[in-house]
Amino acid sequence: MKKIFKNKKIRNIIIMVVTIALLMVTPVIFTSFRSGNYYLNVINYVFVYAIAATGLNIMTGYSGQINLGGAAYFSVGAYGTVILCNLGIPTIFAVLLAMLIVAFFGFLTAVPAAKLKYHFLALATMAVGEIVNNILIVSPGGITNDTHGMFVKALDLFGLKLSKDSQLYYFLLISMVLCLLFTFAFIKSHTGRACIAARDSVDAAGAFGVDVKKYKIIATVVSCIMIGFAGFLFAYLNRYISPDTFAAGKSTMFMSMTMLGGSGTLFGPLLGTILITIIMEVLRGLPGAGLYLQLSYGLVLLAVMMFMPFGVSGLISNIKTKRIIKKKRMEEMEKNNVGS
Amino acid sequence: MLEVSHAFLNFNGLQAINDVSIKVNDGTITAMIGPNGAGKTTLFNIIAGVYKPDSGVVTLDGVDITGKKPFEICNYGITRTYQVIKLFTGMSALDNVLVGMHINYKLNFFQDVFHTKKMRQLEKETKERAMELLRLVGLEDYAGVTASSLSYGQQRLLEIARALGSNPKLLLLDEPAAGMNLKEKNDLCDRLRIIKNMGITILIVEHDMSLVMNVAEEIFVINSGKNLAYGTPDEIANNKDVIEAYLGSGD
Repeated sequence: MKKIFKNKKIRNIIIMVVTIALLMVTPVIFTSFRSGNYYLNVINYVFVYAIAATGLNIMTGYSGQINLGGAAYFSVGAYGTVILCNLGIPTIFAVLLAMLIVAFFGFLTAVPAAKLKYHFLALATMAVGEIVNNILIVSPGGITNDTHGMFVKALDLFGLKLSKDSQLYYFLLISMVLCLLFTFAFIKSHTGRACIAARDSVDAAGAFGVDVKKYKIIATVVSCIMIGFAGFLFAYLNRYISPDTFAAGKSTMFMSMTMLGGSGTLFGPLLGTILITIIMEVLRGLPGAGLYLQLSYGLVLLAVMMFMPFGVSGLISNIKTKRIIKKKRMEEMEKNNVGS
Repeated sequence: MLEVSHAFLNFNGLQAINDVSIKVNDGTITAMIGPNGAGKTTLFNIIAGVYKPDSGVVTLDGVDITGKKPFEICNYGITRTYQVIKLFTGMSALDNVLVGMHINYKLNFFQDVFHTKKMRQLEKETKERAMELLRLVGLEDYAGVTASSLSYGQQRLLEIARALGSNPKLLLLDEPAAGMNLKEKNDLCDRLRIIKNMGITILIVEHDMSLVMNVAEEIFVINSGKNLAYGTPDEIANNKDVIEAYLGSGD
């Protein structure tokens, strides 16, 4: 038994199989006891927010452009799909069309964003968030039903209706895994590497033929599409959308999830989402919940920025790198000692 | 191969480059030296496209490249390292070299991001080539290490490996030995010779005289934005004007 666990390949396979099995039976376990549905509901929200945070991470983490207006793309994805569905378009086409709209919208913001830096970019993206939220409230032509919001029908996938949390669970889980896989493929591609290079040194990236502006725009558009996709999932999980659900607080929440977990790392945003959700759910139960909720946000963000600017994942990978370096240096020292 | 003729550049009244002409011959290691503030790095930046000269012409193999943007210069076969290290700090050493090879990638977005067969094939080839370059500078064991975790000397070597990625004709090295210890400097000399033997011409700006005298075949001396002397290391070492510029005149 010990030998099996020493073999890395076999160990990884075992871990993977166990994880998949656990993820598959989760809804069965949680629906078997009374308050289980509540937890399942929370887990579903984690999937949705994790997708949004992972998407945001492509822009902020991998291409180095802060975005404090994430909720804008989230809401365009949500409202876009719901409105198109209400027009009688099949869900799958409605989603694709809505993603095209989000992409176009992302492109509109990406072009000026690629020229801005630091707090100017932060303010500009924040403004985008506010503008979109105001459009939802004003509701031109009544399409967003202003502050009353819209109720959303159950998700209809090729005639398969997903309304219960236990049904949505698998769909959301698969969506999140696919989004993580896509992000992995993206950062391991030449395009992804060029984006990261442009983040780390604009000058050097330019000197090696990387068109910095182009890659920043690509990262932003990809990021917005993923956030928009999360918006669509949110609409069908929440079953109700209103301008209130997409206020500036959502943008900050996505940002803090990304930062806490570790921006610029693959699993950071997921980790951050889980942590923030746990913090929120625990605090929600305390008296005066509203006050503590906001206060804890501020404190968590402050602490992260001060003590671990690269988040939890950054901290872990930092320790790993240091270990490799230390090992290398020790080896070299030994080599030198033998030589002399 | 590279020729800068009668370059002038003025920074808000400061005449940084005041009629400098240099000529780098094919297949040589040429050094550019001069006291602090002589305008060496400024001239470097003119060649690399960071600054556009007020007047003067830069040609590479007879092609006029004056005033081209840095990302275009790369396509003409000139790459560089920086005096102040500008690595992609968050990326691994290998990835840094891969970005240096960026102009070799001719794939569309979808082929690339969805890792099609063509992309995987290209990726495999480029990774092998990148590993070769890391081996050339002696960093093959550090391929997976984040660039920011490398030592100062290693970071300089990584910059050289990255600059070699795009198969340049001319390599511009801006103070590659700064912050290196004696052993690292000697290694660097050997490595520069190997790079030269690969058919790559090198233009180097360096303060460390022993390194310059050791490795350079031709030397340009620049002082106060002007040409001061040109010759072989021996000629330069015995040149009265050069000694005066570095040590001050006798009276």
